[in-house]
Amino acid sequence: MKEDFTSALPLSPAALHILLSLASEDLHGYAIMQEVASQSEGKYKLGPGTLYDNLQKLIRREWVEELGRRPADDDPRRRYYRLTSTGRGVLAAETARLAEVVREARVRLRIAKHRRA
Amino acid sequence: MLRSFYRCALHLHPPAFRKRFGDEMLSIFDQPHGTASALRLLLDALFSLSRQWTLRPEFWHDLSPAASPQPASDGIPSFYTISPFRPRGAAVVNGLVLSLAVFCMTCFAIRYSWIHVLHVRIPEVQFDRPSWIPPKSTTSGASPALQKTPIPPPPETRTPTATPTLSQVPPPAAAAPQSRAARAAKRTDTARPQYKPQVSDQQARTASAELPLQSYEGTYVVDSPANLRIAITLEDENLMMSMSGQATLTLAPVSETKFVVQGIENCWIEFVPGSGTMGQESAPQLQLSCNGQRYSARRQP
Repeated sequence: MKEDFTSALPLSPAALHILLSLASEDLHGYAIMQEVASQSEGKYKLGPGTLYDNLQKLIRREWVEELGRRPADDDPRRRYYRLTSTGRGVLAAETARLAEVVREARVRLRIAKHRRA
Repeated sequence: MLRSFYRCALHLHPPAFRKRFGDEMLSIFDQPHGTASALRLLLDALFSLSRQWTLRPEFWHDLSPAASPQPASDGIPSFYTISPFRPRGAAVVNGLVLSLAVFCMTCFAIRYSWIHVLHVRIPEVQFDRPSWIPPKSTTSGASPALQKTPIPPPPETRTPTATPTLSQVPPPAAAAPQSRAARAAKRTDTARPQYKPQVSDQQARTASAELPLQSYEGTYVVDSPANLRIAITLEDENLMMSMSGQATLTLAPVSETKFVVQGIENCWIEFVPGSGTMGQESAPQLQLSCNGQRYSARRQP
């Protein structure tokens, strides 16, 4: 049965970017910050405080989990995080919601443009 | 310098957050940055600090351990706390207040114990001494110290054979016990005489002024041994006792009918008023108790 994630939506920008950065691969905190900056082309930067505050909430909701393994040559202070299936479903639902918002926005902007013309 | 500030800011975070993410945040700070970036990270840590303490109370005590127990590289096994329970600060304060209240109530109960509440009467301790008749030297002209504290007498007035086997009387002439006795005398109900083996000079005068001392005057004849007479006289508001061939001794009142014979250890006199039944009146009696021996004497008409 398909789970309903609409009650968890909408996501905050930070949570959305974190889930989005973890969608393709497992990352540690600093890598998540870098990935978020890369996704937004440097327009949205997460600080460590905001990152770990959101990670704390996402782990509590079980949308993100912490991995027990890391590369042998990596900094032992780093921890890696992975998107869970629930988190992936929430991300998909949020993406669909945003797509609907974008589609609706485009329709309305097109109508307004025709009226002005 | 900035790293120290950053570590300090991390240390001020809630314990759960600090344990879980503190090292990782510090590792991010240790990445090569410029001074401006370091300042921005420090500012971010300060914002995070205020956010965690004001907006995230649900995470203050979340001490769930990290999901990645580190393998022991040196072969020494690692141990983790099974129950990381820590009481809330308010619970600690409540416990402290309750403990203090119970402690104060216990101290109060000890201070006002049975002797103040129940008025339990302490039984008289008897002494075992073969002879009670005083020597000629112990007269009514005893020293003031002797009159103040008749039991036990000062060492210079003790007879060589006077060695009681048991004593319940505290040491004489201490300032604190006297004030305590005065406070106890104020609390004493006059309708129910208290049993006080030790009285001060002032208390004795006050008690003797209120008692019908004249009614105790007279000559009493002891039943056994025969021909022993005890003369009770009233001199200068004090009852005096003299026996045949012996010196005159002062009687210090303890209660309405009971008197201590000053100058003799553990010697008491109790007057028993005469009773009248069917028109026949019996004479007042005198009970003399000295060192465990009791004598009864009847007043001569």
